[in-house]
Amino acid sequence: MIVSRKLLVAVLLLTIAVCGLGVYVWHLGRSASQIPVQAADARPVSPPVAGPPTPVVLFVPNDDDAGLIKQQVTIALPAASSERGREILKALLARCQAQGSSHPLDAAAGINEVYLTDSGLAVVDANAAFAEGHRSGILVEQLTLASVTETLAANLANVTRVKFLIDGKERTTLAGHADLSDAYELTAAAHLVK
Amino acid sequence: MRWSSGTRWLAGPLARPKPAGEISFSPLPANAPPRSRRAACLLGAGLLVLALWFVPELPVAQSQPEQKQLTVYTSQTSYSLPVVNREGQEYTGLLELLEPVGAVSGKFERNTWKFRFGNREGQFTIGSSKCKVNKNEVDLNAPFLGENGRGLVPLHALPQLLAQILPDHPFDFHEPARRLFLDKVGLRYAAEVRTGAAGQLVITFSAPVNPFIATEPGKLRMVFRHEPLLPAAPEDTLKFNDKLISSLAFSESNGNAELTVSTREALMAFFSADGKTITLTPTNAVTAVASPTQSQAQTQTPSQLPSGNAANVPPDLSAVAKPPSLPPPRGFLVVVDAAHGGEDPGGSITDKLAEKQVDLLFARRLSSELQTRGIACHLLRDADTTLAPEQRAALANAAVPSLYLALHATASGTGVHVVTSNLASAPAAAAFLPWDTAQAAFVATSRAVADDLTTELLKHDIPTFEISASLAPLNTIAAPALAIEVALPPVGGVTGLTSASYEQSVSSAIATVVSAARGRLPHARTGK
Repeated sequence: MIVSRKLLVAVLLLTIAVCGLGVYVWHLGRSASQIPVQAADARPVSPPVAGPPTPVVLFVPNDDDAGLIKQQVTIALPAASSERGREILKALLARCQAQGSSHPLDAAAGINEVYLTDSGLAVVDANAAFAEGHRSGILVEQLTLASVTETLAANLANVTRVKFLIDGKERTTLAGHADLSDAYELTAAAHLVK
Repeated sequence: MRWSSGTRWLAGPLARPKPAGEISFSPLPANAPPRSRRAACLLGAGLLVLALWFVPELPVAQSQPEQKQLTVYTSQTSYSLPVVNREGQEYTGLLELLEPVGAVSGKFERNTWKFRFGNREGQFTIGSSKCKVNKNEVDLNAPFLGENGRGLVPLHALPQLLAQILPDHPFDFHEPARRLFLDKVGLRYAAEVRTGAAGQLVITFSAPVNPFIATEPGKLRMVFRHEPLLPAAPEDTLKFNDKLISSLAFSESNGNAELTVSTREALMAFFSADGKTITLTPTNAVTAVASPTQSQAQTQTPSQLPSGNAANVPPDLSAVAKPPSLPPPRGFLVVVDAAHGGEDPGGSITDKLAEKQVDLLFARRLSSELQTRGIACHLLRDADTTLAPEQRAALANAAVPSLYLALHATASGTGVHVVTSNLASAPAAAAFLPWDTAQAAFVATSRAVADDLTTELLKHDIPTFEISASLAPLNTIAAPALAIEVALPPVGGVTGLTSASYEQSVSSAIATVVSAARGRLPHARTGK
């Protein structure tokens, strides 16, 4: 069998490199396994909202009568409009995520940011669970979008349209039905308010 | 082992001196060892063989004209099922085949698939060509397959299986054409050529028909996708002693029946007698008496629709000089769109039942209900096919329907959700409508029909909610349009959603409202 000297040296070097990497990976794995796993991180992800308790109006979706139920609650709201919008929507989602909700949403559904523009357009950036974990159906999807739109419009001045993004990106539908490609008009949701 | 030197490699047969001007495409240097060069050659040859192996497949895959399907005709309805090829055998889903016939259920337990149809039980084992139905062993002639939670049986074994599962339902299976006739259903026809100033072929059917009509040089083809058309016994081809129309041939393939007319001139089709009669007339004779608008509307129409309008009588061309009695270009057509399909399953009704399946079941049932009331109906999808919202809108608008109905199903909520577009109503400002807001011109009519439907469903004790929503493709439909989302019945849960009685109740209510609304909905091709 004819084997060149260079080939043999190359194979030897590669073998040594593979063995070395293998030992290094094994060492890393062993080190990682010795780190104690923290059961749960109880620290808040974001600092608590600072602001005076403020009465806000929520339009809570209700599957049973295919409408939005107006509720008044008091929550701490910051001064900036965008942050206020986010906190208000978080309060709205919390209503839906509570046990026994008539319009249950995924427990991990959340709002990343709310952006407001001068033209009356509010851009709501929801997280992936908001869409991925949403139940599929024309009515249930429509109720969710309508409740967000009505709630924002009721509490933030000049909001007339809401554009929904999921993790900062455009999405065709919420969960297979409600069209998210265009901004959602406030007037389109009004008929659902009971 | 021994070491070799560079000079030794150069002495090899592959290392001949390169002539001046020769270009080498070898990836290896000229002084590479012969063994490496040989390996490279072998690798290259292997890749070439792989490439040659796959390349012939590409055009085949691209040129497949249509998906194989099995069409089942029953006394209530007709439906098509996808057929798949596995190891040279054609298979179809047994559950899907029986679903429209009656209550059926099936579940896998490891390698065994158990199904129940009425009081009949069957047990199939994946990979086994034997199965048991009601304790009787049935030879499938090919292995039973389980794919994606579906039980697939070979088409070849359907007669043996159906004899056990449906002993009270006589059937006739045209296996080469993949057409299954249950309960002795069948539609016959008779044809005659009427001679006069111009030859006319009059075909009379035993029930209303709605074929897809296409023309090509020397031929006019009528494809019957839903009708259980059978040949005019005993011959498949009727020959005529006419200078224009020479024959009418029956053929069947891939779940469809087809009548082909051999002709020397272009023909036009006219429907009469509530769609039971088709009269084929030479185009020249008709255009001699037709107004330009009317003749264009007729000649450009790929599929003429049956109409119950008494005025829709074929012209008596033996008396062309008389005042024209051309059929007005109108017809009442409902386009039924089973939502989702193919790669888009829609929502999940259960772990194993996708929304697209329930949508199609409801669409077929509704189509049957409408046709029972003499209303022409066109199913946008009658199989598990993928259709983008834009395609649905384009197909629906091309059919110029009187009403568009999109059918959805959901496991969330109860009753029926009647949905209209959330566009503001606006009159049509011009002959051409903007694509994105085409529905605005029809939304008032759509909501009026939605109101009627809500009232009718409530009469049937079905909880009903009427909403407007942004839902594709409603806004792009240039006709009155509704989306109907069927949710769970008041009792019965998910099982009740797919029950025949609930389907029947909802479909019947919809068909009743559509039938009552005929007078105020626009008739196709006229807009009146």
